[in-house]
Amino acid sequence: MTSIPVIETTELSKSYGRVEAVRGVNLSIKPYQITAFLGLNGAGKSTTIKMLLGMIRPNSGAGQVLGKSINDAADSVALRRKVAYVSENKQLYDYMTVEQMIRFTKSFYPDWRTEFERKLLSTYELPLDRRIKSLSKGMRTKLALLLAFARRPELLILDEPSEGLDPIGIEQMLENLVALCGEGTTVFFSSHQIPEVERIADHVCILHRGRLVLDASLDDMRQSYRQIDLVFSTPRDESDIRMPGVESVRTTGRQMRVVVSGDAELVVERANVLHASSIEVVPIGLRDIFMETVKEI
Amino acid sequence: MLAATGISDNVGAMKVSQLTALSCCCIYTPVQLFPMLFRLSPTTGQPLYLQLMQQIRHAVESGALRHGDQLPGIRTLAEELVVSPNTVVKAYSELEHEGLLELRQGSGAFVSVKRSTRSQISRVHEAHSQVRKLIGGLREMGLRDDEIRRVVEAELFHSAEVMSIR
Repeated sequence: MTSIPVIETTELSKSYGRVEAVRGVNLSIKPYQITAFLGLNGAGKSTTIKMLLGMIRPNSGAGQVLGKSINDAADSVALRRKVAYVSENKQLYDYMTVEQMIRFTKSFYPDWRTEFERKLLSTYELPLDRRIKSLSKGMRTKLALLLAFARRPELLILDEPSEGLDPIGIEQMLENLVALCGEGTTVFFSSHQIPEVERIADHVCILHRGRLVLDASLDDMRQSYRQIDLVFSTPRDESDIRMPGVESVRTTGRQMRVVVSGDAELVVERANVLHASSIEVVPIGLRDIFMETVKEI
Repeated sequence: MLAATGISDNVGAMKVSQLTALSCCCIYTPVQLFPMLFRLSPTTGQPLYLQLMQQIRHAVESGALRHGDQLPGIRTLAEELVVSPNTVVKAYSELEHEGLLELRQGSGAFVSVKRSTRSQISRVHEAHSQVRKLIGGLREMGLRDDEIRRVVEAELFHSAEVMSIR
């Protein structure tokens, strides 16, 4: 079993005029995993994804996807046969019907899985004879997903795949992603839906203002991230509790809320030394970790 | 990774399972068909594979799963729970390492209860009934549940400290 990264970038950067959209991003995405790519609007997620696919040229830095350079035009063509991509705006040919669009896409891919296509058509309830321009936003998304899923790609890159889907549509999509991963597809998807990320992702990358600010496995995050609520008899300074592994400290009067990514025991020990009158350690979910990570300082 | 473990899907289970609710999962044995719930909570501070391991272990300890029973294939269970297949792979292979599951190439995961595990199960059963009795007595004394919990935890913590000092 190889564990050579499927996506690897070094100091990948992109500016639009004076705006630095992506700043020195080093990604290393493991194969056969589901990796979620989180970040606020404008954090640089779509720009990063487009650079990975060779659709935008980086200003500096390099990257490889499935062992092929993202800066090489010839490699980029070969790459697109192995990578399925569902873009943010779900690009499709509006004048075609659903059936024509499927037939058209199918003709490019010899590995096309007709059986899976049929299964997806019936779960997604897509009308074959309807023109794409008259499809609802959710239907468009479902069609774009079908076209990507039925190819059985080595790597699946999705830019906000659940946008416009209703709860049932989201559930079906998540099941499909899990199934594809089980068959050996590596999944890399950007999302704002933290609950869905928390359920299916193995790994999470958070981008903030163009920088990669968190890159961790969800198992590790569940294991080591904790929120510690402290009460002191006299107000304490934040610097009293700052130490490696402390991600954030918030103080209100005699109360202090500390988020740690490492050894919670060390913070508890320090709090004891500082005579905390109450110490409470609780697990912290991805939503709170995300909020802490992208909080403006 | 998945191919290496070689657990194929139980096709029969898949068909029946599609009739059941979305969020829960069922285990089917070849002989007997009984739905059993695995509930993984993404928001608690515990990795999902550990939650799954505990729930399988608990199912064995409570007798819901017996020696020789078959668990769903990795992909089937992952799709039913809507979790990454790697979660199921990790739980199954850790349990195999512990000796509670036997992974057979191409045919699935089977519960394997060894004699030592059996006596452990009966010890756990005995512990359950003793604790139940004890808690009943403490409640009669007028203690609230959170007080009981605190006493038990303090006692466990204290005895663990004594052990570590030794």
